Amino acid sequence: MSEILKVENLNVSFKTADGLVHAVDDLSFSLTTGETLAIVGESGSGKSVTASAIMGLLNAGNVEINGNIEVNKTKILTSKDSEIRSIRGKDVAMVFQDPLSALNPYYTVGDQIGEAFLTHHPKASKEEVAQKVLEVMKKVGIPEVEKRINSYPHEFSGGMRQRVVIAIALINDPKILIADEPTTALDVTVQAQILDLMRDLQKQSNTAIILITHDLGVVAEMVDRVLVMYAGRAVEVAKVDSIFESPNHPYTKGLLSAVRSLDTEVHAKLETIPGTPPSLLNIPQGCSFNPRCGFKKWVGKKCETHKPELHQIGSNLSACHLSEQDIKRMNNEEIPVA
Amino acid sequence: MARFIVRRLAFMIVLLFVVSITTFLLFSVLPVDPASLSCGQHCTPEKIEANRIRLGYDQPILTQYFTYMKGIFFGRTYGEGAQAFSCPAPSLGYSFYRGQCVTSMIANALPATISLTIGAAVIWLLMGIGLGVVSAVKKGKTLDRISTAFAIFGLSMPTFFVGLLLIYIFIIWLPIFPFPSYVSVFEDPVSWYQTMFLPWLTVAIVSAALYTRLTRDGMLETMSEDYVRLAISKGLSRKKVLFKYVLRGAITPIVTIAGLDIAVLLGGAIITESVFGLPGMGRLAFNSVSDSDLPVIAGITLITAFIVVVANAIVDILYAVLDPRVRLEA
Repeated sequence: MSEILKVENLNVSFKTADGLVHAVDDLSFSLTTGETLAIVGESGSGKSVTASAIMGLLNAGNVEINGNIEVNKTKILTSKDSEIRSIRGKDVAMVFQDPLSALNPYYTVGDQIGEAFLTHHPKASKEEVAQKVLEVMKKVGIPEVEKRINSYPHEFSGGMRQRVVIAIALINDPKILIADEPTTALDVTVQAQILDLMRDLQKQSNTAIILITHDLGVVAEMVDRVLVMYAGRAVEVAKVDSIFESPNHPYTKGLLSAVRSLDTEVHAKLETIPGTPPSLLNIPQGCSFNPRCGFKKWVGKKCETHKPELHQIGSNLSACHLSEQDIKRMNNEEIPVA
Repeated sequence: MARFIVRRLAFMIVLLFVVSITTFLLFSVLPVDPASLSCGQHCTPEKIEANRIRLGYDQPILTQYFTYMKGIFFGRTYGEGAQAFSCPAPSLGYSFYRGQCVTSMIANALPATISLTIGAAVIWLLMGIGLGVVSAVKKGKTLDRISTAFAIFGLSMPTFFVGLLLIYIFIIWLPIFPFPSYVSVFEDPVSWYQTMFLPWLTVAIVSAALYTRLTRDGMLETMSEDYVRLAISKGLSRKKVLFKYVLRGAITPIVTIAGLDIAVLLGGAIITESVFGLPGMGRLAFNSVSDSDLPVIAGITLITAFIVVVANAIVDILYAVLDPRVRLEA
């Protein structure tokens, strides 16, 4: 179990006409081979920006990025463009949210899958590439590969297109696969197929997966560890079981109660987290969750003045001022209204 | 794909017939009487009437149309006796004013116009798309501003002004080029090039602007597509992403507009041809209108419509070649 990805004190902000948008704030985490980590959070919590940063895709003029990202010992933020390119698609690959728009409509799927291989194996012959493409297409469960290799993306269904996108990601046996909401745009039945596929492929090749999602059902089923993000910060990191059984952070608790499970009573009212996520232009002082937090009164003013750091309580790392007793009490109670 | 092309060509032929009928009807309702125009001096009502019968204008309109169409496919003899003049197929009519077959007048005018169009199109496409690519890559930077300024300059300058400006700079002020006098490329390629370069540049400067904007905006739009992000995350080089993905995604509307622009130019660039004294379709059309030389005007209208219809068909077929999604809908 070696460490394959290290993110340390990552800060990302975007300069916009309205001011500086702090998309990611002091984020640190790591990933070992074969591990699956879920990054969970509402829209705008910095999940996708983190993924783009790991891929080295944040190089527009208006981005300010600090900290350290190491993919397989290569420092993404300080390496030359050509070095990052040699890692992209080879050591770390990405699966996008919407397979309908992720494939180029003008080229055949065989061409697009093969291109990913050819870029990193420039000396490969045409036959080798074709062989490799057929192999990976079979691996991701595309039927009649000999025929389908020459089809265009529009001739595929959404689920099949996502398989093609996964084939592109997997053709170079990456060490890390970043899946940015890979099933959000798909039918429920197809979602399950794609998740099964990713799980099977991971078993075969021991790829580490970062799964960006807000589907907690998927999280419970797929992952080893969970990183909960709120307003660009990590608010809780823990093994998947302890996240579901005993969350430390009121935000995590809120997310969990907003999900209906089979145990929920049929007519029970679905809990929601009051308020909306903060604007990243203007993040609240202290704990960024404090205006929406129902447990603030147990702590007091500190929530509005001091930014909590991630620290270990029980088996979870969390960034919250609640004491261990308070957390126990919280997990035995309904959420009070803020 | 083959089926798509066949169907598109069949549709084109139908369209050409519709165009020929419309053109013919249009000219038959004009308040100009070709019989009296071709009467000459010492005209009497009797002579005009005789002319009308001789030219076939006394026939019902449908008969006239069929005679005209027959002329296009099999050739036609105009007048009778010693004055008879026969024009071989495809005959688009006979100009009594000039005593020439319309077809051969057009055939004489076409080479200059084709020279102008092709040369200009090559320059404006290279210039327009090139500047557009630079603009898109350097969005917001100085180079983008310069090319935007150039585009606005080109868009807002009238053609005759650009033409005269170029004549002043390159012929009078810095005599790089001789005064233009058109010769066929097959006779004297060097003088042909020297004559054609400034007209090309004139048309190119005026036309390139649109292509710069189309390329720039199309590329910027394509750059935000997910498939471009996927291409980058595959590890492709910047150049490959830019040309194989971004420019490729932006090129389809450019092909459409270019096809139609070229077609319209082939019908004659009246102003450019006049400024540079090129004996092309535009000049022929202009002179024929001044002379009320109806058969020639009708012939030019028909040919121009023909070129536009054919260009449209070519653009549609190119579309299907460029975009695999179009092939399905056929």
